[in-house]
Amino acid sequence: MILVTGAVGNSTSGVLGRRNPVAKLGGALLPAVVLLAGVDPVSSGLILAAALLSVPAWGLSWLDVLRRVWPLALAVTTIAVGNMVFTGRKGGAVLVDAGPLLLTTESLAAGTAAGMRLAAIALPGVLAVLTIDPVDLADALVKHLRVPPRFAYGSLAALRLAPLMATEWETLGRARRARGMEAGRNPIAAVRLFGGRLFALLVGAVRRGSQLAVAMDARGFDSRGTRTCARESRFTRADATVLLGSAVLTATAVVLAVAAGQWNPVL
Amino acid sequence: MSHVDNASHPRASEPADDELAHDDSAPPRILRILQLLGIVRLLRLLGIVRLVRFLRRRSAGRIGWRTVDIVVASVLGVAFGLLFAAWNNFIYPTVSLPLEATPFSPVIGSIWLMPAVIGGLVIRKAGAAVYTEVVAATTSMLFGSVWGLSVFMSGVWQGLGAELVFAALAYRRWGVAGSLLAGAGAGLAMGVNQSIVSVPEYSADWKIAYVLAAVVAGIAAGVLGWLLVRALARTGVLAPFAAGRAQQEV
Repeated sequence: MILVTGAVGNSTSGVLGRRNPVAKLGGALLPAVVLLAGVDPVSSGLILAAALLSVPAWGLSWLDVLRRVWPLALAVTTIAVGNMVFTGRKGGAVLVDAGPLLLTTESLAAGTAAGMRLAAIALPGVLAVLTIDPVDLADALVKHLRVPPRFAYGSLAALRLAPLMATEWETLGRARRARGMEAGRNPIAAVRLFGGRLFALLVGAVRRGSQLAVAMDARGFDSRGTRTCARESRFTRADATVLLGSAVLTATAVVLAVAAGQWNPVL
Repeated sequence: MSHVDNASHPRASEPADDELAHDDSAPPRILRILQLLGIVRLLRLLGIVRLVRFLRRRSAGRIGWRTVDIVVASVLGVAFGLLFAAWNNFIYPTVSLPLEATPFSPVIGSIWLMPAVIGGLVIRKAGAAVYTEVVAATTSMLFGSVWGLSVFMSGVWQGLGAELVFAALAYRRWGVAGSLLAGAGAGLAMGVNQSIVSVPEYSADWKIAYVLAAVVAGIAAGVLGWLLVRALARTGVLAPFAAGRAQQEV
């Protein structure tokens, strides 16, 4: 748990990293949503390649991204293997035939395409989020997407408690260890202990949240008066260009897939 | 520091819930216009004003959000979001990896569905389940979940799954049965969403097995969530909420 604290994204100096959070998220969401419609290696491959090539433009280093996304690579590989094994498409040459397990060239291709698609759906969002500061995000959501400000800033206030909660999680664990509450190698005891620790965390969190709400109300958070904004969020032409670029890229991916005869609607 | 005055560009879509949250102060604009036209007197004679006021008061409890509702729902979402991030990046790749290649992987996915159930049960307002789940998903995303925006999309669907069940029960059933159904709804949404996102190539039979596994996880999340909220109510921290005041009912 301690490993997740301080992992919140920061705006970077990259061409894409500097853009408005709404533009970044929109630009990353568009290909993800369109890729849901079909499973094929062409469109997924293009989006994935574009995302990988755009790493420097986000102001991130390759090493940094690699350090962050290795669990994704691992999970995507496993899910791809699952798709290969449990797919209904078993045409082509037989590669492995061991009882119920049958792998053919076609199932291999299907699984690989599914894995690539999953990576292409996830990766642009990961890059966008790594360069988004939550405060900027809340401002942008309120200003440009008209998210109700009480909800946007209320959740932002709660998000500020996250490092505190992570510390508390550690403290709870240590306190329990000091009392001899350790699971050792017993997985059932581990689950039980985890439940107790989570419960204690939630009790503290709800208590702190209620206090925070009173403090916020005392400062007029709930007032009906005209709300002003301390920080300014701007949606510039460059931000619009990011959205447009993302739309063009997504359209190109789909057109290429259809032209190559690979487009394969999921439903 | 520049102060941007929102009054210079009036909101086109003033959130409806804000209007309802402040039920007692200042009559709504439409009422003022009707008053000018002398229609209010007619409606009062017909008893309609009383009916409308009654309905507004009935619904205000379930629709208008107080600050404490917003903040506590957010805090619950953030707590689970942190768990998600830890789970995604450390537990998931190590513990659940072997299971991930099978159609039964959603079985251990209960944790994903808990915020929707718990948020709904604690806050007891329209939108609480989907809001809490979305905050949890967004938090895990901001704290470096490797799934990026797909975790956000999952959050929206899972939250809606639970929300629709709570809505179908008219936001009036907060017992173990309603919670179980809400969990199952969230699980169904998770299963369908994941079968499109991560296992699109499974054959139809295996997809059904996959979705059923997700529903099982959802039922578990519903029951666990209900137990957790009951335990929370017993500690007294839910005092500002209906869930904390009606302990025997939870």
